[in-house]
Amino acid sequence: MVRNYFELFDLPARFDIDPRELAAHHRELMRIWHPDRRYAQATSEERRRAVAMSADLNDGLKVLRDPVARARHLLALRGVSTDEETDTAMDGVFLMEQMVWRERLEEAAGRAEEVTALADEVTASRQLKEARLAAALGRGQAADLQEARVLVRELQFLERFLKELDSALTEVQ
Amino acid sequence: MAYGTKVLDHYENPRNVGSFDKADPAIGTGMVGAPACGDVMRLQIRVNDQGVIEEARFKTYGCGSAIASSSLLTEWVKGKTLEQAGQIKNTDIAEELALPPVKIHCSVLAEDAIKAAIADYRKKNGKDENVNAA
Repeated sequence: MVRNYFELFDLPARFDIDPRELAAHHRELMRIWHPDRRYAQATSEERRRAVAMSADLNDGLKVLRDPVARARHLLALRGVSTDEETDTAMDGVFLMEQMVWRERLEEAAGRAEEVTALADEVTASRQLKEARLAAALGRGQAADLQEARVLVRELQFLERFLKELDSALTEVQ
Repeated sequence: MAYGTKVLDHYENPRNVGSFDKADPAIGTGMVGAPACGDVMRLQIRVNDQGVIEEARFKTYGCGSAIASSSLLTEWVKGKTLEQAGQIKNTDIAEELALPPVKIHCSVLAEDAIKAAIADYRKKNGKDENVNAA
């Protein structure tokens, strides 16, 4: 069974959540469960429970505040696994684009202007995919969930590459 | 992470890097990607009339283990029939390169790439056998 983080934070299980509401609920729950606060006198059993709860709350916050992780979690709750470790079949056009982008990074050979232009392009692509992801999860039919699965996998790919671009830029500066 | 000597050898001197003309009917192209690590791999085979792989080329963007897995694979498939090449298992690659558990998925990527290249060749040449691509 997947831990339902939406339930944990008393939030509706949907992609569009209010980040301020999430942060407020996290703060509130941590006030109750933080093991340092009111567990000085507690039994070891109660302390263990508080440690486990606050760990869950921090894991849950990380998942829910990141759009891709939140989408992955929503899909898992609806029985759709994104299989990012095991499923290597991806859209040919998408993979071709990935090849070309990585070739461009290689050819840029650390020239900041070219790396920045590439990073802008990848960021724009990510924004488009995130918008499509939000729309697909908003509709939520079986076919939409499959589309969302593809988008989460592609976004995970883009995030990896954006990190690479980021460190390429750091090396330049 | 410390790489094994075989991984380092393939990483530093990758075999058969490059590409063939995708449109050539004798060429099968397999492209796969691993979202978890952002690796992308293209593996191409040139197949003769007897169904034997004469040459293979690859281009991989990824970690040393992914590059080594695909480099090794291009050496292994040369001279094999499509059937033989399709039977190569990721565990064979992982074992030969002594990949640590966290890098096993790199060998999975290579196995999936050769399967995709074979499937592409068969599809292009009307030899789609409708086998389960498990």
